[in-house]
Amino acid sequence: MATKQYTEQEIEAILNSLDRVEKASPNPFFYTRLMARMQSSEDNIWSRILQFITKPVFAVGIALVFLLINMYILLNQYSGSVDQAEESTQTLALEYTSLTATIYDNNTETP
Amino acid sequence: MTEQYLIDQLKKGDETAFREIVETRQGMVYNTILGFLQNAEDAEDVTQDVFIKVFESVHQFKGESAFSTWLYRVSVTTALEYLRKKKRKKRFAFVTSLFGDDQNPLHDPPDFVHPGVQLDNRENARMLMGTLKKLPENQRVAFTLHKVEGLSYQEVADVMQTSVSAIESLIHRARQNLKKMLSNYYLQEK
Repeated sequence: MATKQYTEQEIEAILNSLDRVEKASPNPFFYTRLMARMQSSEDNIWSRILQFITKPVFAVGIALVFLLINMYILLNQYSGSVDQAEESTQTLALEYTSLTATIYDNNTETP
Repeated sequence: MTEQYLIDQLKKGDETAFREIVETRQGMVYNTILGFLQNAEDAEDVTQDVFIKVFESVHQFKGESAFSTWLYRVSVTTALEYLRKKKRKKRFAFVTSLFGDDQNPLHDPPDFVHPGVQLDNRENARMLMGTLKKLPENQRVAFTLHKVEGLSYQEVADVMQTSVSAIESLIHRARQNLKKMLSNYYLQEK
């Protein structure tokens, strides 16, 4: 019982150990270091760009854009290829009939 | 120069106003962040991050709360973001260590003692700071702001944008959890 009471007192002392804590402050010349850091981050624009490019969100976004472009081209090509095939058949037929002279074409008798 | 004047000047990008704000508030921001991070070097880096954020986003401060409340909010958010990032890095380091690439091990320094603690209270404070890390995030924020930064319940409520009764409840639960964890520790020791 006495041990339990002692433990409770100890725990209470631990919980109150930060009650009269003095405020900590950063090392001297904090502002100078802060300005140096702000200056360097302003100068280093390329590293910011690189940081942005290497983000997974950017990579996934670019991959999605490529995927969409590919799908668009593929769909357009497929729908266009049917018309093209039909058109080429017609052209061929036309050319064939106009260029190849038949026997009837050569021996035409005029009245 | 009044605080409102300094803020107005800072919104215009005035460097003198920025310097004045940094010089007067650096202790407050650093002490708050140190309470969460428990590492002096990291705390200084994150304090710099906070002031860079303040410089870049002071136009977001509409004056609905006190400037110090807004600054506490930015400090707490930045400190918690840093801790989450560190946790993620640790997990990632564990994964890379499985593949044999663990050249930069990330670990917390085991015994942090707040520099403002009295000499005779150091051991108790060390134990409390160590146990604080295990609390849920909102309980930890409320307890740290109240104990380390010495804010009243009303001020903590303003920073956390909640009611005073909610803060009372959070701090009460934090104390209960800390008691439980510390008594478990004592039971194991004895």
